[in-house]
Amino acid sequence: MKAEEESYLELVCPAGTPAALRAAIDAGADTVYCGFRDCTNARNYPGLNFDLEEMEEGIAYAHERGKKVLIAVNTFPRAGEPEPWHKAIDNAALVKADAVILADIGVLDYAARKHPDLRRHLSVQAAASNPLSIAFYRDTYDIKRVVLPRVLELKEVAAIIKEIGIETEVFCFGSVGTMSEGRCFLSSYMTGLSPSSDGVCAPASHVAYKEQGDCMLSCLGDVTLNKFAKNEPAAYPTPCKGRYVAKGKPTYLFEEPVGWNVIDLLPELKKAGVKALKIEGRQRSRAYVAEVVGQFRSVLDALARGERKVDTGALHQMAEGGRQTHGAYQKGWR
Amino acid sequence: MVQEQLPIPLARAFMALMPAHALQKVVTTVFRRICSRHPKLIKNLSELPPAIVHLKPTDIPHAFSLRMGVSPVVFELLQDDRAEAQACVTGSLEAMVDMLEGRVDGDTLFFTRDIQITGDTSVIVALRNTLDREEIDLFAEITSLCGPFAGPARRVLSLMDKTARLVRQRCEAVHNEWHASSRGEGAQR
Repeated sequence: MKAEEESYLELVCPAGTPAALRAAIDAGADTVYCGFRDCTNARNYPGLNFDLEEMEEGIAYAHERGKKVLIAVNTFPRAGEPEPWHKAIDNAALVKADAVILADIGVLDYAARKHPDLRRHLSVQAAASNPLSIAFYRDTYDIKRVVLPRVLELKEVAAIIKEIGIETEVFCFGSVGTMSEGRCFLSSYMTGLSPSSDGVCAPASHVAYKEQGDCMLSCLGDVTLNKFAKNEPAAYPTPCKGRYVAKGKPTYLFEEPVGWNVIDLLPELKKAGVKALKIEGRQRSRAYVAEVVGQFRSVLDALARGERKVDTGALHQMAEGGRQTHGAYQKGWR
Repeated sequence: MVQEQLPIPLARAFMALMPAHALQKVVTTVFRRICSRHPKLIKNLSELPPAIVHLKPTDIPHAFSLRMGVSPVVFELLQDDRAEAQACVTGSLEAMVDMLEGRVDGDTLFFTRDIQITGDTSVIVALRNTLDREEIDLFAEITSLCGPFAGPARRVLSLMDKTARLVRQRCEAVHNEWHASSRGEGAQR
């Protein structure tokens, strides 16, 4: 790719299915990330993800168009059972993925030793949020890029980038996770399945929606997470977005149901030294992928031409709970 | 070029007027067509855990039943509303068709409460993800039953839909104008 054709910021987009991968690339993604159909990635939902043949075809589709595909192998192996994770790394190398996104140090070690030429990115699941931590992964496993956790202010992002000497990728749109980035003990406690090792936060098999008069209850296991009034926007049935009764009042104790959207902060992120933007949502449909990627592509292209395009608000409806936030980048709640 | 889409008002009117036994024949024929044109979709549906899903559009007097996780996969008109199902999706016909064709995001429809789901959520998630892997054009599948006249059929139906929408918009405008004047708002202009 010629320098003048380079994206203002690399747009890294989610794909839960081959159709979503094609939709992402057709809508303007520079890079697509996806996972295999098993517990080795953090979006292990029924019917989602790629088998080996689909991954190979998806990578061919991307490479023919000068785009890249990253494979997320970003969950944590269960004790005594590393084989699925090793196999995922071997298969990623086999199908010539442009990089693997890893979190566990054992998996990082395996990938670095067995496939030294396979580029390694550090997943947000590793929750490396300071220069010392990132430097450890860089120096030990030769990671080329870190995906920063969603807990950092913009000035902290800039400070980290100055010190680490490798590429950084930050979230620009999608669901907001809890502080420990995927290592949710609440979900494990309520369902017995771990987001870290089984790749499922709030597994669908444990989720139920119930009607109560005009209201809708969302339940995880035997815990009622939320009660939505008739036309109130709904949220994902995750424990962190639960509205719990504390001191007699229903309150969002951990996170409010709100979508992360920093489409109007892209120049600031570029100025901070960010290399790539990540759109969250491999569990979402290809319609979501096409719409969100298209909107970001349009704004990035305008910025590349020196124009600052105003957010049209088209992404508003895609956001969880119908509300948006800059999250920790700009801590407006303080 | 704007892609022609299934004219929902016409489809709604058609299904509302059709007796169940006649509609069942149409549904069977269209589903057979989809099976033959999207074998991978049918294979993926047959490989899911066995389950029956009811699809209940809120704006037509019919509902549908999908039996997946078996071979052959069965899609039919729901004859008995009390029949057992593992999961149920409720929403407008338009929302369901848009989701089937990958035009709207199912999670967004859920956030905005345009669709409701009950029963085993994992069945719905698996179905949604399996459908989203396939690029289906329901209008093309239906009109392809006209054989060599598929193209003209699409154009005629699209034109009828466009005309019906215009007439409806005009009626709504006249209706609103009439109500505004009966409330005396017209005199204030």
